[in-house]
Amino acid sequence: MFYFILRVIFHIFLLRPFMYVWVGFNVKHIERLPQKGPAIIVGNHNSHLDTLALETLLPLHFLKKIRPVAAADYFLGKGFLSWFMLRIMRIIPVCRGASTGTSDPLATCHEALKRGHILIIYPEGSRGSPGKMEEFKKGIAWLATQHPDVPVYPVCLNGLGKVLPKGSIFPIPFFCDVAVGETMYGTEDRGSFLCRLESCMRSLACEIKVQPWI
Amino acid sequence: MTLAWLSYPGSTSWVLASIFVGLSVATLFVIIAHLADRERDLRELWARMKTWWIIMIVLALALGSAEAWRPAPYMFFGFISFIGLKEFLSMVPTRRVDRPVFVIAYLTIAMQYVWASSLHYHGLFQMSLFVYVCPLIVVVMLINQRTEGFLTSLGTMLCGLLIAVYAPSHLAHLFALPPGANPQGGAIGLVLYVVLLSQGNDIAQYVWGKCLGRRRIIPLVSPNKTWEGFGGGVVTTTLASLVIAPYLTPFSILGSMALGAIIAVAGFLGDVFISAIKRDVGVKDASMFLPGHGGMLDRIDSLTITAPLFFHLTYYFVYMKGGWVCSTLSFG
Repeated sequence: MFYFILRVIFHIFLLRPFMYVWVGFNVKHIERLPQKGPAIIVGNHNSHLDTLALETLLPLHFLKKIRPVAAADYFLGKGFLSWFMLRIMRIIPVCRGASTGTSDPLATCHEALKRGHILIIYPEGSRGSPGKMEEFKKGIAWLATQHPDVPVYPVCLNGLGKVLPKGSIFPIPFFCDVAVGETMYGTEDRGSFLCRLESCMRSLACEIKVQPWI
Repeated sequence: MTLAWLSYPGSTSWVLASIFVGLSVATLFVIIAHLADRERDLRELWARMKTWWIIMIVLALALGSAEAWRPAPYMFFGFISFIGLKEFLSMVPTRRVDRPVFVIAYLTIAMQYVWASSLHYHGLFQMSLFVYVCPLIVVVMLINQRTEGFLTSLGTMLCGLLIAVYAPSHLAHLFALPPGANPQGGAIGLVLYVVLLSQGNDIAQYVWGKCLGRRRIIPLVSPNKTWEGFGGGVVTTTLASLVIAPYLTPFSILGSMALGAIIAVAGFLGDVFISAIKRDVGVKDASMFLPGHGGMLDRIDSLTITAPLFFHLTYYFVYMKGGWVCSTLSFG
């Protein structure tokens, strides 16, 4: 509870003013965002701010439910960052790369979905270069097809890679364009679901036009 | 909650009150239109109306607080500059190596509005952008030694600063004029005058164009602009200026007519100017910051030219009493 209050304070006094005033959004189809959990939000990953932006776009009363899926090797084990990620951001740490043991690497994700949580997941796996979409990893397809009743919301974010690209620490104000896609369900096999998701993300990326770096 | 700190000198309070009455009437019309035909989609119009209310309330609060808290109008116009510059830099092509230059561009807003705060800084206010900021930007850009795209990048940066920072800061600089310069309504009267006429001119040109528009004036940049709309706008704005100038400004009848016509023509130019930029980079609206209107730059487009022009004309003919032009030609 204490950490939850800290999270709410962080959102109201730091994150949301920063996101709405310093960065700013142009959102297309905001009404398509989830109204209740469980849900899976699929984003393209260009910046550390992606997760913070998606959390900002969701109403405050969802804060209890939002769980970003994040790389354990990157975010855990670094003192304050690790504490912040686990307690305030409430990430679900996932091991990247091929799973070695017999245990399911997505077990905690299944658990969270069963409890009605909203997962934020980046199938690209890493931030990559701004404005460029990498090939999707298969984890999302596993997750969606094993929960065919959980809606998947593809969200394309563009511009945050200019605000805070990989390798820089100071965020420079730019408007960030967001397009929310139609809800999808993982009712078919994994391969075709992944294809469908990827093409949906590409058409969303075409819908918003952001000047890339030249 | 008490609003006792607000103060509106002279007849500015009446002008503001009539604006809010006008807004209420317009809102009522939208409601009646909705009730008359529930099938019609009025969401866009409704959003536009709501945003107008917010704009006018924030403007009235910012201007009215100037007496009690001097920084209020500077913060308000500074915020407009910040949003405008952000929109500009988001829609034009930029280079990643220029990230430090963006920091300088945003810091320029703070600098420009500090200079705007007093007539003691009038010289710095007018030229520091060109004499200090421009060389600084060049130096920072030279650090990377990347010459491809150098000129484009420098040009867009300066253009952005001119549109989003230099021009709106002139509205704030009106608050630095001594109160005696405009006994009718002080700086608030002058700001209201130029803002009302610029925005009113947009609306008048739109309405005249919709009603009578036939011959297009500049089809490749702005296909909806017509000679009829332009002419109607000039006439309407000149007459409107004649009506509101005595309540808000110290201008004579001849002066207010001339200023009305100048604002109408300059406002048209500013409008087309921003349209050309947006067309070049391929966007329709600069952002979605003002729901129903588009971005901040879409709203202040005409002010990018009218504001500096209005400031300098007022400064020259009212504060400087016409300089040697008037003393030589002995009028005014």
